Amino acid sequence: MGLYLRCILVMAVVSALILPRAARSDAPKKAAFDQCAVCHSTDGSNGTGPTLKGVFGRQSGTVAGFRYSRAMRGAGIRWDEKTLDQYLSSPQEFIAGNVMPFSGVDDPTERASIIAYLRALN
Amino acid sequence: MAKRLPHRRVVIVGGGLCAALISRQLTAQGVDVLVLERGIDHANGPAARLPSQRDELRWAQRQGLMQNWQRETYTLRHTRHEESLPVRWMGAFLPGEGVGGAASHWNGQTWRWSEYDPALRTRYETRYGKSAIPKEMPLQDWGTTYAELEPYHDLFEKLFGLSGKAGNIEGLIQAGGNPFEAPRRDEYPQRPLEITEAGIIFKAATESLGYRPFPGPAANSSGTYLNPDGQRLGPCQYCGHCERFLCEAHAKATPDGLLYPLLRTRKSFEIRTHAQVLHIDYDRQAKRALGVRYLDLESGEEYQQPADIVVLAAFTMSNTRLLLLSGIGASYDPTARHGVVGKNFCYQTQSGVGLFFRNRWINPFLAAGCTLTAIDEYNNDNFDHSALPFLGGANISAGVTNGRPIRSRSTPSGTPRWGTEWKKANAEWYAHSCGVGAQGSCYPHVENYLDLDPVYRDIYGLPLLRMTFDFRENEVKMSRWVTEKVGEICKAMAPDIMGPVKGLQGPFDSRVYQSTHVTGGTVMGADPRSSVVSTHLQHWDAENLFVVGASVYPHNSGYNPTGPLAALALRLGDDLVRYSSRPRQL
Amino acid sequence: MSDEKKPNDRRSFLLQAGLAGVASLTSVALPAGASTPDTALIAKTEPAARSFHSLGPEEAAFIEALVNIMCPADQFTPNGVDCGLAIYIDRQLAGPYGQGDGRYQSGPFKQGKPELGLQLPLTPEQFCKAGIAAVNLACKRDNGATFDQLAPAAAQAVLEKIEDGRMTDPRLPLASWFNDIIYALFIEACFADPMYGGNRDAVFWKMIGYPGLPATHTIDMVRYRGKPYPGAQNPKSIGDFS
Repeated sequence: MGLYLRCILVMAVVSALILPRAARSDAPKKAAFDQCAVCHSTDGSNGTGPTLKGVFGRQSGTVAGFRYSRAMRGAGIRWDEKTLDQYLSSPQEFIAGNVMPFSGVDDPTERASIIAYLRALN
Repeated sequence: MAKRLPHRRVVIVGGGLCAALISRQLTAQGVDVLVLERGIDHANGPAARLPSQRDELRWAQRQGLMQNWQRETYTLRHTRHEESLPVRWMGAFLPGEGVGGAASHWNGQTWRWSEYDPALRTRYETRYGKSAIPKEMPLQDWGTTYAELEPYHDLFEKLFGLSGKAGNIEGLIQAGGNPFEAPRRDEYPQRPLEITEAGIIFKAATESLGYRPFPGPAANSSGTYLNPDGQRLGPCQYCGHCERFLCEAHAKATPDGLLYPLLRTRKSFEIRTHAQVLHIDYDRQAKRALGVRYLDLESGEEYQQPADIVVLAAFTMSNTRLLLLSGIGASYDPTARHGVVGKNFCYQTQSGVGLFFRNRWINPFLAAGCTLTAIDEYNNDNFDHSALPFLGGANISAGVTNGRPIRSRSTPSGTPRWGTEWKKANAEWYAHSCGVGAQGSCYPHVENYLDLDPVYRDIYGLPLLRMTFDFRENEVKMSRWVTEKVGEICKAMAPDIMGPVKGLQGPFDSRVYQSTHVTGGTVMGADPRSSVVSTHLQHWDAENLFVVGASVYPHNSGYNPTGPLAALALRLGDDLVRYSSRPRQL
Repeated sequence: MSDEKKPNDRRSFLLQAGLAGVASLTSVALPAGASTPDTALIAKTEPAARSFHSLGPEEAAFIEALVNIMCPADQFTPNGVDCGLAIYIDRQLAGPYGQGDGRYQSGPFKQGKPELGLQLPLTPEQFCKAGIAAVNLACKRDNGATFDQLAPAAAQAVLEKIEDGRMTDPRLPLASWFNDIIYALFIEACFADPMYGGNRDAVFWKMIGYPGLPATHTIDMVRYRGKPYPGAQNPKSIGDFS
């Protein structure tokens, strides 16, 4: 096979790999977020947990109208990719004494999905 | 003078699981429903949030979510030749109070019962002959069949996202499930919960003995779940604070978590809390319920709430008591063996053996309400009773449901009750002990019944309900035999120390917790001479009055009672839709 | 069962356990004959944490002696007083439990089988105090001293006698007093959340290996099934999340 054709083939294969993934990219992120959706809304309303609308870039413990634990109120963290990853990996290790009833997400890919979903909410 | 309120189509007494399921069916068709619950809504209170949720003293020891015995308790006597006395602090069973009722603070163990349970009398007579059933055991068929209830079992399991492994899908036995399971149309909605270390030991031992262990069916969510109504369950935290507690993680399937939030969005649904129903207004001539009278516990005002249809969906004891207080139906008389309200009162026959494993980390605090591994070989009529002096049996299981430190520590027999040796034994064995339990059937006895106490009254001046109850010969013999089987399994588990192997005996001890599975009192059946309600749960003496809950069970099986009562409640909901459009004997 | 260590051997326990946070251990008035309290520690504790709400001086002396017998200082924990057990009992007696909250308190009152439960018209607080008085009366009669004045071995013997019904009172069911009220309070004092005054610093939870809060164990359930659980060495209680 000539070089030109080979490149076309490679590009086609690579495109085939990229495009379908982009088209269904929301599904795994949302699925990963489902475990959070039980307590956290994305529409601004507070429930068992504070809304996660706008969480990316937000100071920890600052959603109006939600009663946080003392630990979360005093944590002074800005939520970004790194802090969210640490928190979701082990909530109690990252902010000891917080009262989120969730032991964490073990799988780094799953965490990344959740974080990507949260970022897209902004 | 009670203030008369505007009339309602359907009034349901008791805001628990049954009311929620019935309301779901009715309000989906736009039928007007009012639920009256004497407790409060606990949903966002201290019982439901960390860190206060994890308070064993408050919720488990002091019974924070339960009926207030000061206001109303039950009196007890073991035989009718004794004087009854009030149980001033009930330890044996714990009726919940509040929106969601007992199903808001339950462990979540949910069974469909044996396929033959609804026709148990026929089963035993056919298999062992008519004389096999003792005269003093008024077993009776329910008048309905498992096949009729199956679609409702299926719906309930999907609404509650049960976690488990099917044992019988449309007649095909499935590996890893309960081979004695009644046939189901579908696998469980979610995969089983994680097995415990205790369960691993039990599984190996029972398999070596030729039994077929399976994970206990659980209304604790093994994953994240979205139910057909769009309601969510989160992943179980295995926190070991399940029974007697609310779930802070929305992982325990409850009416307050999955049903009432949905119902509250429906226009035709209303629930009033702080509403203590005192009486069902009854027209004896017309044989109709007119409505209910209730006390608003916040204002102290009494109200008359008229209704076209009245449903009693409260706890076993309350359903029975309301009928007795209101004089609806003939109350059971044990001497004449006449009357129906109060008869076939049953409980649950529990026993177990404690085990201690020096080198196994049982870690009892890593547990959920349903982290049990079970076998069913010796339950109900799953085995041959021909040569045995009893009927019935027990589900046998091992696992841990909690390691809460006040109540759930085990030490070997002979350990002193305090002092350094006591501390040493606790330190040595806490993380290394578990038990194998037998949850046994309790069949009716002509001397076990409910009626109104002649002496003691509740805080409103109304007679308390009296229990005349004990574990009688059949249950004592069954328990002894089944517990021997438990002992054999325990030996095969090779513990370092094994507790005594002893079946349950009377006298029934009101101080010791032995499940909240009281049943009967308003039993269902095809014959008005031996039942309070028909097979459609319609009262024989009041066409527009219906009763549902474990109070309609003519017997208790070797399983937790929630499964069938949920199926019955869903079916009643559909029946009431039909009844509402065309009132008649169903 | 003899108690070989002195009842208030608090310092030796601390040295053995290498316990941090010594200041949180309250020192309250000790029975006569024991070592004198560490005044520096008393000065550090809040009056609210060491004052009695229900028990009078003789009653407090009784309960302190009782908890020190039932929980002697040893390799596992400090003595009962230093674990907060007497304060726990006092608070419970003064609070809703002691006042009979949730108990059916209407008459008539009749004696019945034990399986029907306590039938006395007394609240738990009243029952507890009546029992203390009755036991002290019997101790004075039999030993010439009140319970708190007895040597440990004699006090232990008294409790054993009461527990199995060998010490009786003409008016009060002493075995029931001990088994239904006192013993239950003792167990709670040891194992309830430290916020209630007992189980100070979660010492009993540490002893058995109960990790306490937050109890979010989804991952642990698999990771530590059948293995020692690291969190058991350092239990957390409700206060750590408040």
